[in-house]
Amino acid sequence: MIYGERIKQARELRGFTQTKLAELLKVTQSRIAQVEGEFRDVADSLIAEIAYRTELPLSYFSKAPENWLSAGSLLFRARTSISKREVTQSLRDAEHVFGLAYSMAKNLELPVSLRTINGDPKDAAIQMRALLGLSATVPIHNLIRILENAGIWVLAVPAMKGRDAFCCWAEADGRQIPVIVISPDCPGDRLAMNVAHELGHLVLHKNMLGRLSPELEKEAFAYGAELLMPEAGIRADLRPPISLTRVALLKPKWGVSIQALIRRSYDLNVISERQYRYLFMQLSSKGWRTTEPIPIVPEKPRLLKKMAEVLYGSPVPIDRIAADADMLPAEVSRVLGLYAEAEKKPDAAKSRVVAFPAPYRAGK
Amino acid sequence: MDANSIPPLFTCETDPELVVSTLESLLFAVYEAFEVALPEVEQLIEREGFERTSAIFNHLVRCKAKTRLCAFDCQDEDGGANTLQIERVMLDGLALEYRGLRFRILKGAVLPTAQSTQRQRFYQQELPIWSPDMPAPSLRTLVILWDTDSTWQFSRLYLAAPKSGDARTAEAYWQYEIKHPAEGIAPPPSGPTGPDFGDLDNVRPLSAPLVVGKRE
Repeated sequence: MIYGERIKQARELRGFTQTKLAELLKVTQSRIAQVEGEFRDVADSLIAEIAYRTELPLSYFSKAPENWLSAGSLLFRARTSISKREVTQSLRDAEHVFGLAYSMAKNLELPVSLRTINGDPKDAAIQMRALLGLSATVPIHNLIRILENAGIWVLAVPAMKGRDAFCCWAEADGRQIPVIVISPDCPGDRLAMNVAHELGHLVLHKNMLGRLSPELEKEAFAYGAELLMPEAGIRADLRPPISLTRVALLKPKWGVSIQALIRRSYDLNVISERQYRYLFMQLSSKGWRTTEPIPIVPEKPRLLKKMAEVLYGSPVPIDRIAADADMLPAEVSRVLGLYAEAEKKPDAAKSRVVAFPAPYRAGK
Repeated sequence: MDANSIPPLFTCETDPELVVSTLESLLFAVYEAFEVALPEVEQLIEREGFERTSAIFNHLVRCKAKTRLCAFDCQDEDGGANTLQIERVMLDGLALEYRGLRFRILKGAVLPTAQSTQRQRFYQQELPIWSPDMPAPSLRTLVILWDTDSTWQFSRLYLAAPKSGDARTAEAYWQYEIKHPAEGIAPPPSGPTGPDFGDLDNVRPLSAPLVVGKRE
C-alpha cells in the first residue's frame, strides 16, 4: 500500500510545492493533490518517479506515516524570521533524521536523565549545572556532548542550514525523548548559545512549546546565558571598563560570541544601556554583527553515529543502515557526515607498559 | 633611560609588518586605551554639558587615554629598558617611549604637518642629511594616529614612520593600519576541552537485542 501522507511528507521534506512536484513529474497539480489525499490509486510508474524526484526509496512510501516531532520552539521562530514552507521543510527533515535515529534506538539502551525544572531561569540553570555534574563557575566547551550524555538527542539536520535551532519532546512508542535540532553550519559560539537556549525551553516550557511568547523566549535566553556564562564565574572576568577588546579576549575562554558577552555585561549591570548601545554600534561598524572575529569551531553532535557504531559496528555499513531506515545510502552518508567520529585517545594500557632493559626481558 | 642610548630595533626600511608585530603589546594597549576613552568622553561631555568641539573632545580623549596607558604594564621580559614611559600630555598629542623608540600619538587619518620645529625634528628620524649611498637610517620615531568617524566613534588606528615635514607638508616612509586586537586573538583549539564524559558509554545494545535488518 502507498500512503498519500508519505508522499506529502516526502514533497515537504524536499521543499517542493504541489505545483513544483507536478511540474517535475509532468502531471497536473490536482493529480498530486489526489494522490496525497488518497483519492486515487498511484500508478507504479508515478510512485517510482516520485521516489526518484524526492530521492527516497520506494519502501519509504509504503511505511505508515509517523508524526514523532511537533514543531515545538520552531513555531515561535517561524513567526519571526522564516516562511511556513521553510518551517515545514525543517520539521520534515528533522523527522526524517529522527526516524533514522529511532530505527536504531529501538534496539539500544538510551537512558534519559533530563528532567524539567520549574521556576526562575537563573536558578534552573544553576540546578542544571549541578545535575550535569558541572562546576558552578567554569565555562562549558562541550555542551552538546554533555547533553547527549544526559539523554538529549541533538540532531544536526541538513535542511536547517542557515537557520538557528529548535526543540521538542518527541513522542515515540510511549516514550518521551527530548530533542534539539540544530543547523550543521552554525558558527561554534552561536551554536553553543542556541543549544543552551533550546535546553531552556525543554526544561522550563515542556508543555508550552507550541505556544511560545516573547516572555518565554526571554526566559530561555536568560537560562542559556546563565548556563554558559554563570554569574558566579564570569563576573570576575567582566570588570569595567568593558571594551570590544576586553570582551573579545573572553570569547575563546567562554566559547560564546562577543555579542553574547556584551549582552551578559549589560544584564549583570556591568555596563549601562548607553555603553551597551555604543558597543553594538562599534560591532556594526566593523561588520561583526554578522561575522565575528575569533572563529570557534562548532561542536558536532555524536549520538547518531554512536548509535550506528554500537548497533552495526565500526566502520558503519551505510547500505544496511539505509535499508533499515527507508533511506537512500547517499542520504544516510550525508547525514552521518554531520556527526562526530569517536575521539582517538592514547591507548592507556599501552602507555602504562614500561620496556624492561634487555637482560630482564621474559625468556632471555 | 634615554631612548637614543638603546640600540635601534629597526631601520626606516624595515618591513612595517615586522615593526607592527614587534610592537604588538604596545599597540594592543593603545588601541584599547582609545576604545575605552572615547565612550567615556562621550558620557562626560553629555553629563557636564560641555560644548562639543573637536578641540575639547580630542583633548579629553587624550587625557582619558593617558590615564588608561599609565595603568598599563607594558614591561617586557628584558626588564626596564622596555618599560612604557609616558612623557607628557601636550596640547596636540601624547608622547611615549618604548623599547628605544619615541612615539607621538596624534589625531587624524594621515600624518599631520609639522608646524613646530620640535615636530619637524621628530619627523626627521636621526639623520637630517642622508644620501642613498649611506646605510638606511635607524627608525627612532613613530607616530600613532587615531581617528574617529562622523559620529565621533573611534574608527581607525595607524602606525606611521615619519620621514620629514614642515608647516605645509608631511611625508612618511610608510603608514600601516593597525587591525583591531580582536582580529589577532587566536581561536581556541577545536575539540572537547571540558570535563570528559567518555564516548557516550551509556549507549548500549539492549540486553536481549532484536534482530537488526529486514527479514526476507
